[in-house]
Amino acid sequence: MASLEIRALTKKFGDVTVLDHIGLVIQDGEFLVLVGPSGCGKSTLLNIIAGLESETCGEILIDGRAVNDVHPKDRDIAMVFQSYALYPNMTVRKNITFGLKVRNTPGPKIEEMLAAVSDLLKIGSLLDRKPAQLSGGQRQRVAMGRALVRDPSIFLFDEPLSNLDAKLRVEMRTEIKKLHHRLGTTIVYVTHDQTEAMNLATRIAVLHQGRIQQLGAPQHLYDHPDNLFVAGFIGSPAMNLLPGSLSSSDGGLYFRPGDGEDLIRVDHYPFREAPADGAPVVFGIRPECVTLPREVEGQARFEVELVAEAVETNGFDKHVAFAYGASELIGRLPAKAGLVAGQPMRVGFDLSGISIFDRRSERRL
Amino acid sequence: MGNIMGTKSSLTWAVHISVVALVLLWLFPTVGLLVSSFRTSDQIATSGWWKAAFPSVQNLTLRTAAPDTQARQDGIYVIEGNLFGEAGETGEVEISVFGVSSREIDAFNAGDTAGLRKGGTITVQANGDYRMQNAEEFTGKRGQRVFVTAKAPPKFTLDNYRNVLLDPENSEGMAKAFFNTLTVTIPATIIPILVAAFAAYALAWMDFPGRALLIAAIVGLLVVPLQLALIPLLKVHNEIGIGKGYLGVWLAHTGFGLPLAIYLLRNYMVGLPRDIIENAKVDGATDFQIFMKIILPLSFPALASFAIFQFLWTWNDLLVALVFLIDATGETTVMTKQIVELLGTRGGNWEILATSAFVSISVPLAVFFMMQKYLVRGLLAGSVK
Repeated sequence: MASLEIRALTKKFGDVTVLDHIGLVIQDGEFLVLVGPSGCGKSTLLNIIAGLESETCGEILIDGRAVNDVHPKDRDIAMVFQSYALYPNMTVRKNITFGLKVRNTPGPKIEEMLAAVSDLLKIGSLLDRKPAQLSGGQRQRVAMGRALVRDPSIFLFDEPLSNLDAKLRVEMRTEIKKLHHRLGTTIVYVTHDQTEAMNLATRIAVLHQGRIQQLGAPQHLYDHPDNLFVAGFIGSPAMNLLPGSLSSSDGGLYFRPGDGEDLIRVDHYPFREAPADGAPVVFGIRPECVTLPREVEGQARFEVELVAEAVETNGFDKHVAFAYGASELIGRLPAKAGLVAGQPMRVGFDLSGISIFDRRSERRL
Repeated sequence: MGNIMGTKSSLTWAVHISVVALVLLWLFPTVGLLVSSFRTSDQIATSGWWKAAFPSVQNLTLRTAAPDTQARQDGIYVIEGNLFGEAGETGEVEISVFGVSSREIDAFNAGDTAGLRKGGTITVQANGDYRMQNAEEFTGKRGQRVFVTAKAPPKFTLDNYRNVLLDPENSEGMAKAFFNTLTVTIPATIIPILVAAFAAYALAWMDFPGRALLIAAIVGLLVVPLQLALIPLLKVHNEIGIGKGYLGVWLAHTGFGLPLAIYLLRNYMVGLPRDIIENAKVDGATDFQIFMKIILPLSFPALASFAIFQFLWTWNDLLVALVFLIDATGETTVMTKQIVELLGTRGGNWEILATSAFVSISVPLAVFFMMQKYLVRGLLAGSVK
């Protein structure tokens, strides 16, 4: 177990800056998920932590020790790859014990650790098979076993679940979560799937264009996205983002959608700094806050008549696309709500959890 | 869609026809060589190898037993026996016509009685049994010549192989050359693979300055004709004291084989998944351990395919052996050289030539058939992903 600190890490491939002054402190026992769209540099960051790629500048510290020039094998880390990277020529047993053997661990110790890991992951019956004879989920387990058996101070996971089918992915996600609870090891986990990130992480770092957009607990990221990118990236379906402007009248502060006459009262919104009247903003509201008027509780509410353009049924609720001015608005309505596409209906906005962003800086106001 | 399907099926036919043509082109001389090597020179001279499996009609010149075996029965002198010796008594050979003069070899049918020029008569049966009788004593040292036209069953012999391989008296035999060729070929296959595998790993997976330049240089070396290097290399060998000999020919084959070996193996290794190697690094393996325990086992198809190439090429090589190996004593002659010699000295003895040739192609054939799956896999690997 160890803490990991990254200081002002920059990585350039030629003229392209892939990582731009990344700073991160990961506490001992934390489960940090690096999430971002493909090409955001998250895998590069992981490879640099592992020592498989070299940084252009900046520092990496494991337990306070700078490891920039330390060979991967001496960093006391274990990595699980997206492709699992099992050694195809070796049996499961040899795959798992390879790392111990090359480190000259004594034989009885190896057997002991192998037994412990195969019990933990329930792969005892697979030990004499070759990777080609395993299913995707089994390979995944073996890949994790190979990382676990070395008892490293930090685990690095590089999109470990993205090659599994949907059902297995959910199962393995739970297993990884359990494993982290049991072992309490520091984990850095890379994924492009924000659901996975929300499910697993104790903290999430959202990466975009080589920068950390926001770092925080999953719920915090969901409720208080720092900028437009995070607002759009976290959550599925994504947050509704309506461009418009602020205006104060009748002693209240309202949001006026760009091309509409509606005035949505935003007095209650905890602005970080006093907004200017008429400031161009983006108004963000989660789909679950766009629903039937009777579902909305509390004072901060707003009602409007909209036309449902498309309805997707999920079983437990419905995703409905409304046209709202020039924008599209996704709402989550109860499964029982009777509605017909093309018909106008009353829709209620729950304004307690909205986010407002400056349209120019794209930052949260 | 119909168009595409149509094109495909006509192409498939073209492929099938070419395959059949190639197979025939390849099989015809090889099978011919194999069959000829089991035939006697007489058989080769009288009929083609494709008739070897059927009975053949031959004109033979045979002799009866010598006059000193004659016996006296009922006042006349008689010589009895079978023209074919032991073989004739099994009844496999069937004589249709015979004659006692070289001008009229088909004068009598089997079973007829012919008058002899020196007196007396001879009766020859279809199976070769004959009875010569005369009122006076037969004279002379040798038996009577009998010309027969006989239908002989197919007959194969191992004599050629015995002669070419096992006869220690035969200075033109292949046995010694066979082992000399092996002595050249095996090290000349193993050494370049060993060197090239290490080089290929370094060029594929180790970062060092000038790597791309080195790879470019190796690709460049691929197209250098080896004739260019023969004389300078021989001079070097002579100057550093290797001279002509096995060491020299091993080194030469190694040098000429290395660019292709490195190129093939590097292309294969570069195609191995990066994740596996990175994982091994994180697992704590050194480059040497990664190479020995992961890369080498995974590269087996490529290693095997290059081994086949190098083996066949060194096995069939004449030029390099002539320049770097074979000296005036002829002690180190290889099979290709031996066959060239045979063509000169035994050009008419097809059975010897066919046998020698088949001895020399037997090992490549065996290697090819045993390893062909690696050949295809190794060749495709790296190019198709």
